[in-house]
Amino acid sequence: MEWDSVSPRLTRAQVVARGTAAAGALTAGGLLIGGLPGPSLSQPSAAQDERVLEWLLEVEQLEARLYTEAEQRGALRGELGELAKVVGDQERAHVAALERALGGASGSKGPAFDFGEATTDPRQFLEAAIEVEELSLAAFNGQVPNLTDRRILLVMGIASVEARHVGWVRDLARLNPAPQPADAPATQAQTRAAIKDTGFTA
Amino acid sequence: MTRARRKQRSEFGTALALVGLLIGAALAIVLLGGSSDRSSAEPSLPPSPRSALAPKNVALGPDPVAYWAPVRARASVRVSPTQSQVVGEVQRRTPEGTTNLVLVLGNAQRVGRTLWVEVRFPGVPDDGRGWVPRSVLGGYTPVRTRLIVDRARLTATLLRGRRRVFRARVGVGTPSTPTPGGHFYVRNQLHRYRSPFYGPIAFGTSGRSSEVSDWPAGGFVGIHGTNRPDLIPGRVSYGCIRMANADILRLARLMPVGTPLTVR
Amino acid sequence: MASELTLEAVDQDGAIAEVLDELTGGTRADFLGKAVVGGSALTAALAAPAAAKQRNTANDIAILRFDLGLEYLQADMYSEAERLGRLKPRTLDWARVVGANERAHVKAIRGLLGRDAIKSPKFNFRGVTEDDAVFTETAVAFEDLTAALLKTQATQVDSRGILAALVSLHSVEARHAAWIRHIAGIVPAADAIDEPTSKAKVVRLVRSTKFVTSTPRTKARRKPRYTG
Repeated sequence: MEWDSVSPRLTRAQVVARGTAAAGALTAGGLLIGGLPGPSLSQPSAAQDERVLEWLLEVEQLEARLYTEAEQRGALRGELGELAKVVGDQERAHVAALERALGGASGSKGPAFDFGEATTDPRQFLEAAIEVEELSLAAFNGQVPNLTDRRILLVMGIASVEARHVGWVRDLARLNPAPQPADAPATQAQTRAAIKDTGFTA
Repeated sequence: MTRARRKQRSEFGTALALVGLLIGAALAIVLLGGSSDRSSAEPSLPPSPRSALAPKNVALGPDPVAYWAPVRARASVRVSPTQSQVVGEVQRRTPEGTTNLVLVLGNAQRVGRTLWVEVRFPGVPDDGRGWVPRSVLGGYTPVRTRLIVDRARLTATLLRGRRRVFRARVGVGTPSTPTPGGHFYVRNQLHRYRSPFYGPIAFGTSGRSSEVSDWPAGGFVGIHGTNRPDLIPGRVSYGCIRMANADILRLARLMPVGTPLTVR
Repeated sequence: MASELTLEAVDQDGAIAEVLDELTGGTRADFLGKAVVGGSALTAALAAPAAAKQRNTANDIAILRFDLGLEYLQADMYSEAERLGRLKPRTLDWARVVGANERAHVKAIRGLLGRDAIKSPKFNFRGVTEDDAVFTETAVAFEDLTAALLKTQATQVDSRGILAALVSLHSVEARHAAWIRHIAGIVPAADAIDEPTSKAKVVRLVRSTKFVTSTPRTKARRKPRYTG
């Protein structure tokens, strides 16, 4: 059985009111306290916040690397070149903000990425940017409801800008920037699969 | 930033509480007994709660036939935004005390800081068109019905889109006090008055009878019921469009104010 | 068989989860004391119809109603702009696509509110839907501010389900904002991190537009004086 499917859909008020008492949710029967990996993962908590931020930092590092490399290689001209710089600045700021929230840089730069021509060829860059921004946005949207109040504004404030990036690059690519009225969230597993699909990871 | 901590009030009775207990117990058993998917890595973060939303884009409905707008301030109607020649005036109120309306024809032009819009306005024998500042008008309301009155066939037909939704025989003006031909619109609806001559409901239109322009209240052409249904169909009125009382009641359910009226 | 059940499969509307949570406030001893075990009772209980739909709290209703009002305004404004067709092609395209989204938002939020939904106010768009420059400027203001408001509301809602709903709408508004800014020639993302805004600021924007108007009086109880 998937762990995810048994997380009770508690209201946030209840969760906050109960704090870590909710950790006993599925173990109320008193039968399983030792056995499970921690039902607290399914409800907002400071510990979960940290894991969420670490995860989102992973995602941001992919984005930041794409734009940093594109800017460094200097092959993109005109609005694309400007975009690489402006968006790159913002993605790097996201990385910094998440690291700050985690109490400082971890020191790890994350995995290596190989973007190939996606950081020099305009068409491939646009496609890569769209792909990466969309999966990032879905990852962020997937985690916001898991956060405590304390972290929601930071994460939504970043997600909002990712959505702007998506709108921008899609309009440049002459794609509908907002094809659906609501954006679907992605689970960690779905995002990991999407990252793999980009082909940028080793 | 503080947020009031709210306790979700439980709406459910004891029976459901028991169900909850049973489910909890069942799950506990299942989790104990079931196989675990846990890999050696940390378990992944949970999915976000299911949102109730899965909205699909909502297409715009069929194009309205027309837009009408209330008049917010008295103004002169010009022949064009750039020509000051005045072709009429619009008042805020109709003689019946309702808000005066114009039909918005869809053309707009900015001249300097003023946005001008083309409108059909009341009080002319036929097809009065001109331009007023947009600021003189209120919000636009779409209308999807059209009324066509045929003076030769003595019929009134209401169309919604291309569909005919109403038809009735009518009485129109006599040769000496004719119902004017042209493009008009329904301006107001009067009801709950006592006047058998006009029937139970009367609509005011933007059209004015040129032969009786010194009529009290300006000589506007109305659409109304009658206490002489025996005269319908016929050329019998002072310009108004008359129909049987049952028909005017039916029409009132189908025809909103602002509906364009064509008199052939 | 109980082993095939998951809480999610059974708990369509979160009712049971809510009750479970009520129970977990108690101690282990309490739970065991209350437990009634019996296979047939469990099966019978599961066969019962779903409990009443989880009701929104007054707080969440207020938040959703405010959002609905804002969505009515945007949906109407963009719909009217599309119909009147007086905008430049790219702006008209934006109004068409975004209008469809905002109309969907209206429908969705009305669905979340059910009987607690409010009706749409009457609007006078004062030429904004007929003039490309003013429309663009107004659209930028509304989309930016809606995205900002949804952040604040996310920290205020009681229900996690409603939170998830707001999250899914929030990023779409940000897409809209970036797109119309791009059309207007402004940088689509001005800041690295978007700030939230208050309901008061949104109220001020709406008031400043004077879009909300009253329904004109077109019927009267007067005796007709038409020509007859």
